[in-house]
Amino acid sequence: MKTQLLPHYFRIPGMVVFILASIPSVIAGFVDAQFYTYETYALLSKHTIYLLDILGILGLAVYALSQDRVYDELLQRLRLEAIKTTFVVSMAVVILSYIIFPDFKIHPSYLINLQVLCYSLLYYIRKNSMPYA
Amino acid sequence: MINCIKVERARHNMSQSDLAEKLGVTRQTIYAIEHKKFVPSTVLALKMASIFGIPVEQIFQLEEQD
Repeated sequence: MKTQLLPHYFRIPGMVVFILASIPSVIAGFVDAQFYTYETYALLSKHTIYLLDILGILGLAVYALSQDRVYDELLQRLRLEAIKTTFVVSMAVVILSYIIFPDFKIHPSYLINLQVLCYSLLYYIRKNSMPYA
Repeated sequence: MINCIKVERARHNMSQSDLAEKLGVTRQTIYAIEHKKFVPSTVLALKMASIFGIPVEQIFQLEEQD
């Protein structure tokens, strides 16, 4: 039984949407570490910022949930392992952050982005570390 | 679980890519199965047996620790 995923051709559009939607955040990251208070975002309305956040998450999620060109049971297992590790990493990050900084608060979009990025990265690394003959 | 996929491939003059293509999987998967890094599903094992024309238990055998 195969896990239901999006078709392979969704991968590139998903990544393109994520990259385009993330450009303001990346630029802002270099200009000023204080998100939402710097000049880059001052050029954009609050609604545009939210829209870009949502588009970025959706693009990354579409990329992460798209099938590989050849999708078999080994890759399914690698995906499952990546999800398991992502869950453990997310739990560790949140718990440690609460222990170290009692007033810790994280924006939901950052947490989701962190999870999807972590999952995509782990899956990519595991997939490419599988040797050929 | 031990397997004799490599032997059967050689007997049928098949490369890993040939077998992978016939099974609709990646070459990495064939490599992982041959090197006991991954145990295939029953469906894949049966497909393999059908390609080699031998019973599935002739390709895969349990080891003591299984």
